[in-house]
Amino acid sequence: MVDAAARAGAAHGQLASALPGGGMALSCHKLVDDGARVQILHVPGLFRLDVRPVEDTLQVTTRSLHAAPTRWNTSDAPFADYGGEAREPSVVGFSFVVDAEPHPLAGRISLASTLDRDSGLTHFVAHAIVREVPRQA
Amino acid sequence: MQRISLTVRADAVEEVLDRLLPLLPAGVHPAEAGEGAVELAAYGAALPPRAELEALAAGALLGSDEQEAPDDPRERRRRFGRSWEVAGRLVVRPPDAPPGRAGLPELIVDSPAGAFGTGAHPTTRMCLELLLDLEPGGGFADLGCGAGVLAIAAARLGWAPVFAVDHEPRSVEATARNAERNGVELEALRLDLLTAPPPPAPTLAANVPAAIHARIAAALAPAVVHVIVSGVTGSDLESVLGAYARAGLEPVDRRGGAWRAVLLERARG
Repeated sequence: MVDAAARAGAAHGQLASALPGGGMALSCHKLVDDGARVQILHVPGLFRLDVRPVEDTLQVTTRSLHAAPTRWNTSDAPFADYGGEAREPSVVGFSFVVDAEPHPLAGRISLASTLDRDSGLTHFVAHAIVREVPRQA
Repeated sequence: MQRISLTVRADAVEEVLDRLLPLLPAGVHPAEAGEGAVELAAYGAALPPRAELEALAAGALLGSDEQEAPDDPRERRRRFGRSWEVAGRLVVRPPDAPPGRAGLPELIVDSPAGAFGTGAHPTTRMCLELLLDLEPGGGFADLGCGAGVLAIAAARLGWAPVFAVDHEPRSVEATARNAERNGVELEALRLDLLTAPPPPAPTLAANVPAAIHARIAAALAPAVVHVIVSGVTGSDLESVLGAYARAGLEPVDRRGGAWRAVLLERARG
């Protein structure tokens, strides 16, 4: 899965590496034009995360690519900061669990962004960790 | 720079994007392209060949186009900006976009420095739809006016006086310029709705985040009869409507999918 993510994200500047004890870390950064929907993280066969800034608002699309059911959650106040004055990055968090066999996969994603209103471009930085979760006996 | 656009069936957009987005680091610009169709436009200096992109959309492809595009994103937005027809009664467009359907009144709205509300966002268009269904008359205030499209539409439809307020100076400036461009009179003011009450007007439109709706609702004057509420998603809507209900306003019309817009009216009696 790490190699597949590294290959799939190479053209996007996505980095993927294995973590000690299993799992992997992913990261990617992009400058995105207003109105463009862009892949920001991608693990083939697991998930893709797209972002689309439109004027003052941010649309985030999660695509579940695993055959097993996937549950997504967002942080409590995900998008309140987006589109404001660029004094500090707006940060939103996501998590997911894939009911895979033999062990579920759990992911945590952090997405930071800063809107440059003069150019209409938004800086994005995405970082994720994915690990297997041992099933309880 | 190249621009390659594919027009695809709306019901197949996500499947097409699953194939396109991994190949396009700068992504695609989706836009409605008529009944049941979506245009996906990609910009880049080294895009995959058009035929390759067409093949990825096979089965859903309705048409395609390829042309040169400016490198500067602001120039691209001007050149490929589009007009938005609202409820078959009004057209909103940037200055350089082609005119809309003949015979419809036009609002020409520019947003050179990122002010919200040029018509590109669905909340702006839903607010305009609700505004068009109201009987014009008396004062109107556009709260969080962005580029000023709601205030300009209200002034054009017959509300007066019209106020347009925003906490960002660039939005106030854009609104004043756009009002002049459209030949309407309004008062554009810088105002922080988190700390100050809305201007006095019986009809308000507030296309703002949920936290600002809470403050507006708490500061609402008894003379307010209608509020067009938008800028919120389904998950925030009920708490926002609850805040306005405590101020005596109830929903009478609702629009939207992921984003919502609701017309509220003061309960009689």
